[in-house]
Amino acid sequence: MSIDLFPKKPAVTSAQTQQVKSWLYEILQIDHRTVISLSQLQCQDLNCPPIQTAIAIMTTPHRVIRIHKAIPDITYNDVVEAITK
Amino acid sequence: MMTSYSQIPVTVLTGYLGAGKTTLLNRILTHEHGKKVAVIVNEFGEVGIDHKLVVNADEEIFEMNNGCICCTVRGDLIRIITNLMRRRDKFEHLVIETTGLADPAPVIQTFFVDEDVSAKTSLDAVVTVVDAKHIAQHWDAEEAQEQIAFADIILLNKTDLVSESELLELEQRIKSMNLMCKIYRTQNSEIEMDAVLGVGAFQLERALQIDPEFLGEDAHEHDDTVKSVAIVEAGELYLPKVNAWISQLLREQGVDIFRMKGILNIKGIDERFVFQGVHMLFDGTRDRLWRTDENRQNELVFIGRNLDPAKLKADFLACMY
Repeated sequence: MSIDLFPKKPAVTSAQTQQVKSWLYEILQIDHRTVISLSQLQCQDLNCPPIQTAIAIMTTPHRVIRIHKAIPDITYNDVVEAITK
Repeated sequence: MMTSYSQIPVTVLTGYLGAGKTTLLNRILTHEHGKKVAVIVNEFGEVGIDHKLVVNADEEIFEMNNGCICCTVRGDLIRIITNLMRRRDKFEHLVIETTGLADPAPVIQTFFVDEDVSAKTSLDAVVTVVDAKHIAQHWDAEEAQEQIAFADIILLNKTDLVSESELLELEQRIKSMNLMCKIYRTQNSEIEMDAVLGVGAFQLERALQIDPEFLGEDAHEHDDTVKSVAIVEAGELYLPKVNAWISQLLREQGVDIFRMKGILNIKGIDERFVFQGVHMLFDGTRDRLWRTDENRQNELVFIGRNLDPAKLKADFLACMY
């Protein structure tokens, strides 16, 4: 597998981002005022999938979880699995 | 980062304490340029006018490390921008003033990576105010070098306090560190608003406009750790080699590369490939078609520390078809 630095990136809607965030708030049982940042990141390592979603949950201490999918492809179970890992 | 008319343009304002940032900020807020501007500042008291859209920020920097890529984001900005967007109809431009010793990278990376922020806003430019009289005392400071390296626009301020030869020397030195920036000489941060607002510096399709003077062997006569490396070459590139080279470069030197920008001519493809990057974050895309009368020239600029110009060029040339 070769790395493509100029991919056609998956389009992400606001609704998709908010859906993942709402799952996180629900599963983690955290206040909706807590900032959650979702970022689709390309990885330059051949051992990684081309697009990952990095999620920063800005509690104290903050937490970063990773899901090896683009945001539109993330399911509720993906979020549960990433949190419990 | 695609720009659409509904995205709020964002200006990042940086510079050492006393350089003239707040003076510029107050000019932006009071000038009748027809734009309604919201501002995020570090200290309320600095803004000298009563302005309803001024928000105070307390820096919260979070490291997003996905194992391969490390980037930093400003959690406070994400929160503030989310809240400001509830008053979206009240402003057309956002200015973020950083602290005097700030590293601009976390601010810029926040706009690159956070999905909500990048959907609602569009980075317009990093404007750095430099005190022409006192910058000499800070050249070696990491913060000063970062603020210059990240700038799209530099206001070389307080020019009334230094001589013409000193100004020329300063401009030469700034350009050797950051050849992409545009420098304006100012007094009291007086500048046309068009020069600092609506710049479009982060639009991928913008030409690099590399000054040929800085392509020469003696372009780096200053012994600064931070320098710019520009590569301009005709020829077609083999895309798999480009992908491999840049990927390795980002892995091994991403921490030291402040900004990179480029336009590439790829073998067998009629679209321009354009990219920009901040440290390990890379944003590349296919752009418009090369015009039939256009010189299909590869242009790349790297701004960073500990860069080896000869190696960068050699590795680039190895990607030629």
